[in-house]
This record gives sequence, C-alpha cells and structure tokens, in this order.
Amino acid sequence: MFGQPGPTGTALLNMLRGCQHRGPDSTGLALYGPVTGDHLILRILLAADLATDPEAWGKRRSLVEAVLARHRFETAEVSLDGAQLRISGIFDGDIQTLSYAVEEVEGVEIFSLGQSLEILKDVGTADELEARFGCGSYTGYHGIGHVRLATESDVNPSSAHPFWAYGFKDVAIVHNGQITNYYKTRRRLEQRGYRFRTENDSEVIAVYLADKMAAGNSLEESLEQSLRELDGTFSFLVSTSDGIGFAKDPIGAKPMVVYETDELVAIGSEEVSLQHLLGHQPIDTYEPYPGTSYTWSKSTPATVASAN
Amino acid sequence: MVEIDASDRSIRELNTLIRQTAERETEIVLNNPDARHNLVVGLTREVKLIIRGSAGYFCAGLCDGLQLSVEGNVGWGFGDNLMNGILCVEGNAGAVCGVGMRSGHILVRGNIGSRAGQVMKGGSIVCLGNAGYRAGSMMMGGTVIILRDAREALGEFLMDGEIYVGGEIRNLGADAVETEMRQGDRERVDGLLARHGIEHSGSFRKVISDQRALRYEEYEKGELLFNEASEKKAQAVAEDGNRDVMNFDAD
Repeated sequence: MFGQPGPTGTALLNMLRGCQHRGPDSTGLALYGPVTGDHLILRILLAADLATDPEAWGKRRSLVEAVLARHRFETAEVSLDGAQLRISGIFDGDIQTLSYAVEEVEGVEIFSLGQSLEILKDVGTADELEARFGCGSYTGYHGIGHVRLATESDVNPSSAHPFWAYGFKDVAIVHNGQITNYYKTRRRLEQRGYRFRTENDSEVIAVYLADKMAAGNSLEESLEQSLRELDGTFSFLVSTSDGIGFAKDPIGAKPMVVYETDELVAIGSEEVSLQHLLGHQPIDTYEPYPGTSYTWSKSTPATVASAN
Repeated sequence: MVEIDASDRSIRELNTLIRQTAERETEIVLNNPDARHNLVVGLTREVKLIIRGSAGYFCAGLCDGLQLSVEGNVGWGFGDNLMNGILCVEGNAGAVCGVGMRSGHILVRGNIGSRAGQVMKGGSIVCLGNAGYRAGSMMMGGTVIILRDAREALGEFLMDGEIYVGGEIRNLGADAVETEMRQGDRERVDGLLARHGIEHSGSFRKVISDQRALRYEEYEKGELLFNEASEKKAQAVAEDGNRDVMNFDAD
C-alpha cells in the first residue's frame, strides 16, 4: 500500500516473482482503482467448468449480458481476454442479487465485483499473468497478490487466489493456511443465505469478514473477531476499497514479514518479496506476533502493497 | 578474502562454490544474497563468511565451525542443527532461530520471531531485542539470553537448559518455572555475552524446566526391557571383562 497512488501492478508482480518458489502453480492479483459514483467492474470467467469451446463462451457471454440488462446494469465497456471477461458499467441495485443471478448462468463464475476491485488470476507464473493481462500498468493505492501451491483443492483459475468475497463488493483475500472449522463456519453462513463458489477455505474467510463488515463492524473489528472464531493455522491479508489488514493465528505457524515507512507498507510471506519490491537494500522488517491483526487505511498516511 | 556473487547462481551451485572456496580461503564475502533460502548450508570448515544483505530460511543450517556475519535479516530456521561456530545477525531473525542446535553461539542484534531455540541441545542464543512467543520451547539444553522482552509461553515444555530475560516476561509456558539466579549464573551469562563483545548492566530473570510434564512416574515397557538388557550386559562385563559389549549408552 502506497501513501500516494503508485504502480501497484508492477510492485505486486515484482513481489510475487520474488516468492514464486512458494507457489509455482497459480498466480493472482487483486488491484484497486479509483471509485467513481455507481461505476461497477465485473471480472468474469466464462469457462469455470473448463469448457474450451469459444463458441460456448460466446453463448455464455450473451447470457451474462442479458442477466445484467435484466437487473438494470448499464453496460459501458466490455473486453474479452481468452475466457475471462471484463465488464464495467453503472449499477445502483443490490450487489448480492446481481452476483447470484450472473452465477446462475451455467459454467460462469465471477472472479471479482466492485467499484474499485479487479482480480486477475490464472494458472501459471507472475510473468505469464503479466503477459496475459498486462497487469503491470495498473496504478492505485493498494493491492494484494498470491502465488499458489495447491494442497487441498484443484489447480485451475477458479481455485487461484485472491478470492473475492462472493456477493460483497470490493472485498478480497489471500491466505496461507488451513481453516479447521471450515464446514461449521460455512454452514453458519449458508444458513443465512450466503452462497459459495468453491470448496476453498480462503473463500469462506472472505465472506465471513465481508459479512462482519456489512453488519457495521470495521475491518479492524472483523479481523479481531476472526482470531477468536476461526480455528486452524493461518496468515491472511484482506483488502477493501479503503485499505488492507492482516490476521495471524495464535499458533504462529505461518510466516509473515512487514516493512513499513511513511510512504509505503509492504507485507510478504518472506523478505525475498520485499527485496524484489524495494530493489535489494538493507531493510528493517518485523514479523507480526501470533494471534494478532492489524489494518492500514487509505485515509491514513501510509499505503500498502502485499504479497502472500 | 574472496567475494562471491549470489545472483545468477542456483542455491546448489552457490553452496557448492562456497564449500570449494572454503577449502583454500579463510574469509569469504557473499554479495547479493537477496533473502534467498538455504544459503551457506552444510559448511563444515572453520571459515569467516560475511553475507552482505538478508538471508532467507534455514541460513547456515548444519554448519560446523563457521564464523558467520549476516548484515541484514534472516528468515525462519537460522542456524538449524548448528554443530559449532559463531553466527551473528545484524537485523532480525524469523521463527525457530537456532532450532535443534547442538553447540556454537548465535547472536541476533534485532528481534527474534517465535519459538527461538526450539529443541536446542546445547550452545547459546543471544538476542539483543525482543523474543516472539514460545522462546526456548522444548529445549533440551544450552542457554537462551534475551536482553529485552519475551512474549507468551516462554520456555514451553523445556526439558533442560536455561533462559535468561533482561526485560519483561509476558508469561511462562507449561512446565517452565522462574528461579533465583544462583552463584555463577551471572558470570556465565556475562561470559556468553562477552563472546560477542556485549556488556549488559541490567539484571536478569532466570527460567528453567520444572521437570514435571515430560517425565513419567512409571517406566514404559520398552524402557524396562532396555534396562534389563543393560543390566545383563553390565553383568557380562563384570564376569568376563569383555568391554566390547558395553558399546551403547545405557543412560
């Protein structure tokens, strides 16, 4: 996170190149641009079922556009990159209703939805991600990124991080760990009508936190509660249109290194990411204590780039 | 003195090159370490080595006799299973610093992460800053010295060895107990600090094992069989003077 708008795309890609050894199978970024009125951006995967037929994608695309029109989403711009679709437009209705309706189109999955958030993720390395989406040109205050080593679910674009909090605008997460009360947490949220797109525990954390914030809690309060209510080993970073926060489990089994100045906050699993960001120089870092959380906000002086 | 550039070399190539260089040189400088993992692992020569920058995980693991100075920070598992030598870090160290070390001395000028000195068997770890939680957890011997504060569960399930803290102790771990400084303790601590050229005028609090949790009131079956075998062998030695049969440690 930067104190002034900066090259978040390049910064995060550099950090991820530094820690690609941690996760060679998938790479992803959650980037935040400026918020303008009721402007909304959707990033959609047309082939979540891994269909390879571009004709099927075309069909799905028109179905998605029809759903959007039905919900009075005024489309301004559409671009297609392989099976990933970016749609921006004006919308002032209910975000959850809109996102659930779009996902009812067979084989379609929303990667991100928000006024500011865009998630770019795919299988492969940071270099491949940049070549594919040109994410190096993104600028903004903050973002989060992830390289993935799959342990408990598939290697495909849908299982890559960051995860969007399905049904809530502008909330994203990157996570290293295992949530051991996953099913309990998920069932509690499902009973209240929330849906999930994957069987990945990281997605549950995102929805869990977004739900807390929707109920009026600050990001900081939500993270504090998560330390008591989520069980397992974890280090995660969560981002909103306003800032970034982390939570680290009480056992301290997952790494996290923080570098903070007046101009910049950078968080990585390892210092090697920070070295790639800051250009190989001696830096003063700290490892957050187990069982702690912290947040940085755009409205306060410092800014953040983070890679997990 | 020889300078080695770490950039554009795989860790395997680099460590091989360092080992080869250490056969003929007494001082090596490693440039551009870039906080990469497994730097200078398995070096068993008495050589001086300076890392100009930060190192990643498991730096200087399995080393014997090395005199290392890291000018930046180190990641997790610094000096893992150290056999002997002196390792210094100018910055901070990540979690499990000195894990399983058997001998030698580690100095961290900054802070150390969680579980420093976990299962260490001997030697010393000196931290000039604060220590993360569970410092000295499950240690079996050796000394951990923290000049500033220690976080939660200090000395969790330690079996032997000593921990000295110059600042606050958040709380003690299971089976750890605070005890009075005994005669000779202060001299020993000062001696270990002096090894790194450090003086400390403040007082220390000493934490040792309560030796209750990981002890059993009754022998386990395997242990009884082992004792029985030991007695038989001791008897054999007494009877026919064959000392070759005593080639195991019956402790």
